[in-house]
Amino acid sequence: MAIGQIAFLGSGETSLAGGRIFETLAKRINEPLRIALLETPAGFELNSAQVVGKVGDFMKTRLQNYKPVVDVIPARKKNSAFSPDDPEIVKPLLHANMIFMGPGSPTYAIRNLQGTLTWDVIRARHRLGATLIFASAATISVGAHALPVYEIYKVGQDVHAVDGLNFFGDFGLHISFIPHWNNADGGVDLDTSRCFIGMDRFVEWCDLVPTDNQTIGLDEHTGLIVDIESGQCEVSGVSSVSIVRECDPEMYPAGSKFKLSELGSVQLPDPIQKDIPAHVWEMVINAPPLNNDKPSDEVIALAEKRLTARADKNWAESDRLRDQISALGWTVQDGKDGYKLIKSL
Amino acid sequence: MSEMIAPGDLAPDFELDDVNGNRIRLSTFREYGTVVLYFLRGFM
Amino acid sequence: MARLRDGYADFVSRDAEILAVGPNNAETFQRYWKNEAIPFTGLPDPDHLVARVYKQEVNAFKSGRMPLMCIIDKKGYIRYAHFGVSMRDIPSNEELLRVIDELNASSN
Repeated sequence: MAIGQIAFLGSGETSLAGGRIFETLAKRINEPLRIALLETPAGFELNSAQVVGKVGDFMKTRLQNYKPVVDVIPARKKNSAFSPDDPEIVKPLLHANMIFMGPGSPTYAIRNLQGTLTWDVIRARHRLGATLIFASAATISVGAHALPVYEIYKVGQDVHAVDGLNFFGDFGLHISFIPHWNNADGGVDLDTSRCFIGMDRFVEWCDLVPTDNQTIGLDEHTGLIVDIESGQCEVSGVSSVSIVRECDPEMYPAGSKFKLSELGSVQLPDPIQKDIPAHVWEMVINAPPLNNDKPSDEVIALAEKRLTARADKNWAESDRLRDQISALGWTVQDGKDGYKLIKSL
Repeated sequence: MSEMIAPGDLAPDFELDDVNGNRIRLSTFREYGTVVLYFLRGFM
Repeated sequence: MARLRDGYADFVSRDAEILAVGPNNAETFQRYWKNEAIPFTGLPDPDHLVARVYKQEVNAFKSGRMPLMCIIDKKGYIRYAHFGVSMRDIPSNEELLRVIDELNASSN
């Protein structure tokens, strides 16, 4: 089983850049698509479920041809009722083959994922082939060094760096990510590039992190797909991806490819579960097989429609919908208060 | 009566927010590829 | 609209994108987009700013609402424009895809 793909989005997760990347990645998954979306980066927001729900809705629509099952993971805050360490919360991740994390606060995500079951399961699933997609805030969180964007440009703290989740550390690479690299919302008067903090402050940040760190700048409406095993990186979208480092900076436009080895000597974990806690690895590989026991949104929608048809005594429609549900592999059983969906054999 | 838009004309650039809140600029989206621009007249 | 939605993959595979502009407000637009599960970009233009720029008759409420379909190449030139004579008069996917195929061929 090959290690999963990883994608980074500079922005546009509910727009064309995201759409293109989601479709490219969905095409490469040779099993029914099961998407999990992490609430964590926006976990402090009162409507954290809605924040990531928007992306989920977009993915469901954009990828409708793949009929995905979509789960939102409410891993909102350590030591709370919605803890990233709670196995119940983590459960849908065990079967997700596309895992998305995006909008919110980069440092909040780091604080609430570092050392948690959620983060370990994500890494383990990736080793087993799941595709990971990190967008906007999350791209900062998973790097070796994080830029505390809001703290600097909203709260006015001095430029500083915090340790990131260092996803690529397990693969021998020392890289960090900055989305919204070419942002120009400030117009001619205000430099809002480098994720809103401007070039001067970005240089300050660079001086604070180790010199062998390489920063990958992701332009808006642009993404990067990394295939660790093949060592291939491809740029997708409208603009470019920039590699910032002491020597030999580089810019790769959309459509171009470059080798991961440009960023250092890639080490595949050996054994595959290296650096993943043993009990987590056990949990992930021993997850009971799904048997697709959960009806998709489409099936549920049809069942609901049928419930209404039956209430209207529209038997022809009710039968028609029953057939449609059956065609999707489910049997609907009518009961006193409603219906039950049973997986057909 | 205004002149009609015709093939050969430069497509006027514009910026609008899409249904998901993304700021969309036509000139950026041209970079993705050919654009099919559909002016709806309202929903039925 | 359903035709475009169902055939969207054919456009994407040809490196084309669909942008739909309409006179409804954001809320109405969102609802419609969600209910119909439209995968391409929807752009509410309730103040008719873009419609005007494209020299669309904004007072078409009196004479009915006529759709306009344009195809714009990567350099920004309009290469195709179809003015519908009725609300449902929009070109078939086949016709649009044919134009796009020609554009792709000539740019290679």
